Amino acid sequence: MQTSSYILSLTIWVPIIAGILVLFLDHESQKPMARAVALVGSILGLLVAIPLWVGFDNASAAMQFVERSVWIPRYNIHYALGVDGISMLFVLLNSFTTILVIAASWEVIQEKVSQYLASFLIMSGLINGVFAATDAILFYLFFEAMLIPMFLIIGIWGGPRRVYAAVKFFLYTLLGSLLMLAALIYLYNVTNGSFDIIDYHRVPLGITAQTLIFLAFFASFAVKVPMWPVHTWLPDAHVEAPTGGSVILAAITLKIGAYGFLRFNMPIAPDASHALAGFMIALSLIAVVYIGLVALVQADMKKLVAYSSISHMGFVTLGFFLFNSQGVEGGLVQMISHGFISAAMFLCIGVLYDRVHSREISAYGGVVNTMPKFAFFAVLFAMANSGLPATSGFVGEFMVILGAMKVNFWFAFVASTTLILGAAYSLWMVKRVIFGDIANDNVRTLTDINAREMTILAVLALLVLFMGLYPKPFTDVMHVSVDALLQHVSLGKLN
Amino acid sequence: MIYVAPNHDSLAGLREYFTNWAGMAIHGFQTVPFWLAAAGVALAWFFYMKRPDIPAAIKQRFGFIYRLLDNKYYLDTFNEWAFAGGARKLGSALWKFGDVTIIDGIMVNGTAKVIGWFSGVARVVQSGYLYTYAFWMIFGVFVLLSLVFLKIQ
Repeated sequence: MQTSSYILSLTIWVPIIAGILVLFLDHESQKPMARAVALVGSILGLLVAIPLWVGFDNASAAMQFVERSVWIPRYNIHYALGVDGISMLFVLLNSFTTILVIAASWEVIQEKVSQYLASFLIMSGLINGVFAATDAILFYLFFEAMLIPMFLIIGIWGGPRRVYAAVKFFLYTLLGSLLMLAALIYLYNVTNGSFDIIDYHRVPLGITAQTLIFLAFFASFAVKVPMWPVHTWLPDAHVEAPTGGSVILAAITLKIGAYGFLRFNMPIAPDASHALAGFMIALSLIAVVYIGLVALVQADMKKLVAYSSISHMGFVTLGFFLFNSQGVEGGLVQMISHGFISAAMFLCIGVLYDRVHSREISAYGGVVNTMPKFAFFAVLFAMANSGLPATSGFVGEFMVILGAMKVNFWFAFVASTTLILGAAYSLWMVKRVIFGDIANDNVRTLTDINAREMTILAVLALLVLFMGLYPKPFTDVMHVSVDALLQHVSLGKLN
Repeated sequence: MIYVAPNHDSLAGLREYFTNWAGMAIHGFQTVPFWLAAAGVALAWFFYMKRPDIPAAIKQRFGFIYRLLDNKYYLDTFNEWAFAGGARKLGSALWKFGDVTIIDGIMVNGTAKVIGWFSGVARVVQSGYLYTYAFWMIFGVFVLLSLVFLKIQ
């Protein structure tokens, strides 16, 4: 395999270079310039990613847009990139979401503007690197490097408890990923010195080695997803992070954990994955029900959506460990859909927070009277969050429940409670915040969303509806890759 | 084109009775449900427009049944108390006890506390005085030498 394309490199380096450029525009008078450059950089970042969608061969499960050149010859480390049907959509989702967060910060962020924008652009490039890397060390590098901009975003532009939240986020994630590094070094040795992830998929491993490798990767990815019970960093991080930080956290970085399960755990340790499927399913179902109930009683809107994210990600991991195509594809669809919906929910909360400076549900009431346009979008996204048919939230959940039904009726039964709990916490929040009489003077003086906010929310609303009504373009991309993965996993490595 | 599975072909049964649309419409007037519905409209008109004193009297006499029906058999009240209230109680308990106390309190911040406590103890040894360090070094050499001599014997 030799380099035949530069598209993936562009998706990584265009945002990073744009970010570095923006860093230089840090003078007070250069704020508008910094914003413009950042927006152009993020749009370019999406434009260079579009050939991935256009040129993608849906019939192939192999890595596409492959790039490979030697990086550190002594340890056989390569700068190796490639995407398949599992990872390609996330590069696009990430590049797209970056534009939203840059646009959403336009008037809101006034302190250290260039650094803020640069953090997001650099992080966008690094996240694309995580999804595109096919060399384990390159993956690890991007995976760890990504923590730094997010740490800064929470720690600098966050709320009052930002330092606690940032450190908690950092330590939690770092602790898990150290075990992953140990597993990678072990795999390097058993493959006679290769860091190619595809080699890891092929190398035969005994059940003990597989189990340990599975648990090492699990430590890393379960924190990232986050799965119950290693989820408590997420509500803190979300509450303290600025709106843009919450959007990227929920829409993209959580997906990296789930992606890790598909790229590492299942193909490298297929027999251990089967052996531990019950454990994974149990944790996922606990996340769905337990976290759903916890979300119900939150008084802080951001915390509520954070818990809702954990619950939805429980659905994703549930789908993966059912080992059928509905489950895995449903999980992937749910990831993309949750990328849109959670981004939209956090942006909606951001819209309110920018005006009232409170995230408490009790600080609102009757918002529809003063912000009817906003209320329209907020209600739509809350319904999508609770999995209403014709919204993208329904498609993934429906597929996962179908997949679960094939494996065990009770898995499907417990998973279905998400539809009730999701509706309960999402719509109850909407009822208290949006509907009813005007609760106080803050709400009375609210101004409805401006053209910029309207555009951002409208784009997301269209995507949520499009994916809900016609999910085929998304599932077509992933279908062959998912089937190949499932076939690989069903063969196992023990024979 | 609407496809009807052969085992669900309820339209075939209908076909036997179907003549034309006018016949279908006239047939509608000959059925019991139509006259029951019409009677309902008439009764409602009589009770609530013509003689509202009758329902008021019924309400007086059968107060218990009236309240039961008016509150929809108290099913909403029960749902709000048992399901909605129960879910909130359970959610609160899981959050306060599970997340805040066990996971964050004991596991996450507990780990930090244990490390802090251990460092506090370890810090006592590091007094910063050179003579304390020298004493412990000499003491260590003494212990090592003792072990070596004991082993030789």
